[in-house]
Amino acid sequence: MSSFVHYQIKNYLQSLKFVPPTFLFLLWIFILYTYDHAPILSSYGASSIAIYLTTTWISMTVFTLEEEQEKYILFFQLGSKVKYLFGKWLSIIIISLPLHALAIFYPIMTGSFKGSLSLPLILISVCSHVIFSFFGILIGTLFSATKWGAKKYSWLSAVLVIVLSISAKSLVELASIAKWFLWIFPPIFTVIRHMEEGDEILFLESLFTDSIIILLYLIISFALLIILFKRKES
Amino acid sequence: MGFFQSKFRNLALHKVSSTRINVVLLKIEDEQIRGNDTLLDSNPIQSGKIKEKQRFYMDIFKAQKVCKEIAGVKVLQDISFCISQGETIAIKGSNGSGKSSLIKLIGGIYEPSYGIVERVKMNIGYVPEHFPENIRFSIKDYLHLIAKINGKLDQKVNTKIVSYADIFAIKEFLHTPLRKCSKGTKQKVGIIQALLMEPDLILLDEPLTGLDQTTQSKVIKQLRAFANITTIVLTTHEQVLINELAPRIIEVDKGKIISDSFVEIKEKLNIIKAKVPQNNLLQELTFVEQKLLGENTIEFKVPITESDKVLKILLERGCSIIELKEMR
Repeated sequence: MSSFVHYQIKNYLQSLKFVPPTFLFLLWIFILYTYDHAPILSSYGASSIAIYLTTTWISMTVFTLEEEQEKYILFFQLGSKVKYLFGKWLSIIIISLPLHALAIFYPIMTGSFKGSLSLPLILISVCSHVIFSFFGILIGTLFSATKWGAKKYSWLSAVLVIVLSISAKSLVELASIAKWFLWIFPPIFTVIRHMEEGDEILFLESLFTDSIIILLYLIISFALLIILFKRKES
Repeated sequence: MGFFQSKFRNLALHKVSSTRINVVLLKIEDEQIRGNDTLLDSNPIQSGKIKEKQRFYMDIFKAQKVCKEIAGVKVLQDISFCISQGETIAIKGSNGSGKSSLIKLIGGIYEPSYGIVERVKMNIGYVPEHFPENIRFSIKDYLHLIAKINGKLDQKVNTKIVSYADIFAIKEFLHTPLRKCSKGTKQKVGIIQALLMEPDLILLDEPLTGLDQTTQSKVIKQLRAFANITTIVLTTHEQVLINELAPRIIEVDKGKIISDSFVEIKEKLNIIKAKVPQNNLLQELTFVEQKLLGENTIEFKVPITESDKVLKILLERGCSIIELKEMR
């Protein structure tokens, strides 16, 4: 598996497809911390959303890196289609690690925060970035490695899902009926609502329930993705 | 029904049950050992010529009434056949007949829409009809990475890569990016990546596409070297590949198997006539068919692959070569 990940990362770097999403992410982070005295958690919340967009973009480019024939050769060399999928996911995680590090440490190094950092604050920020990058991988995989990825409007669909998931809270406020179908999108606000208060973690009563919901959502979604991927590649 | 053939033996396979194990009946006939290879009847029990030895060869692939639909189009229909370990099979048919789809079904890239497929888990080498156009690595990097993915060790792999590059005459391009290589070179790399795996089953989708005559011969020679230890399934339009390599031919048309038959593989022979000063030399060359023409003149029927070796022995022993011609 490590050799496959090495192959993927080397191939991805040589393709230069990492340039646009990485550039956009850097721009986002630099603009976010242009001014000092930024609130800790809401800033990390904003950079988590940037990670969400960026990992979606990276995932879609990583999954479309090879032509069909190259993919078939890799299936045979790996001996399993599922190994290929897991290898891709692992590659995306490794590719996005420097972005996570930048999002977390850049404001600390530049002293951009108003309040003082504590371990719980850093922990919740890291968790938030990791969860959002998993959401990004989820959307990216759905629209590039399943039958939905073969559709003409896969990129547009991915963007639509991202926009709907980010604006879910406002949409529900506008029309409560929306909550009956918006549950299908990544639960962005289940994470964000714990980070809304500037420099303090909102340990809402629902923290435990929310963590379970997010975990279940990720497990079920990734399991479904494996099924959809296998169905596409059969 | 399966089939397996080694150099001086014809093996026929008789399926005794619908389970995965076939009984392979090994027939060794004296005249065949002397070099006259003929195809054994597919039912050796009826032929009554079986002398001895039974081996068990496993079915590595089995399809029962398989149908494959892609975007509502039936690319394979009512496919039922099995492949035994060690067989060499050519799949032929016109363009769009379903050859490549059948190879993908065998390898597991395609799963059946209907019907049952059984596969034995094994190391499979795959050579696509068209090698990918946009691989960014150099040939050496690509082959090295691919071999590592398959779990091959570094040092051994490097030696093998150089050795295959030498055989296929691409040594000078080892550091050239693949996307800048010619179609033929890419095709060679496609074959090498599969051979590097030392696969149990090798699937080749029109492997001779885009290759010159010399390379075609080299590919056939390499595949022959693998034929006795590896199961080979290839799709082809080239009769030469069928003639020289595949005793079993599956013909496909409109997604259906229209014939599944065995043919005789005639090994090409050279006839060498030589004047031999010492008679004891004949004992050294018992592995080739000999015929005494005169007092010191002997005719040898030698497989083309052995010709150079026999000629070298004859010349080293002070023989005069009178005639060398290809047997028609």
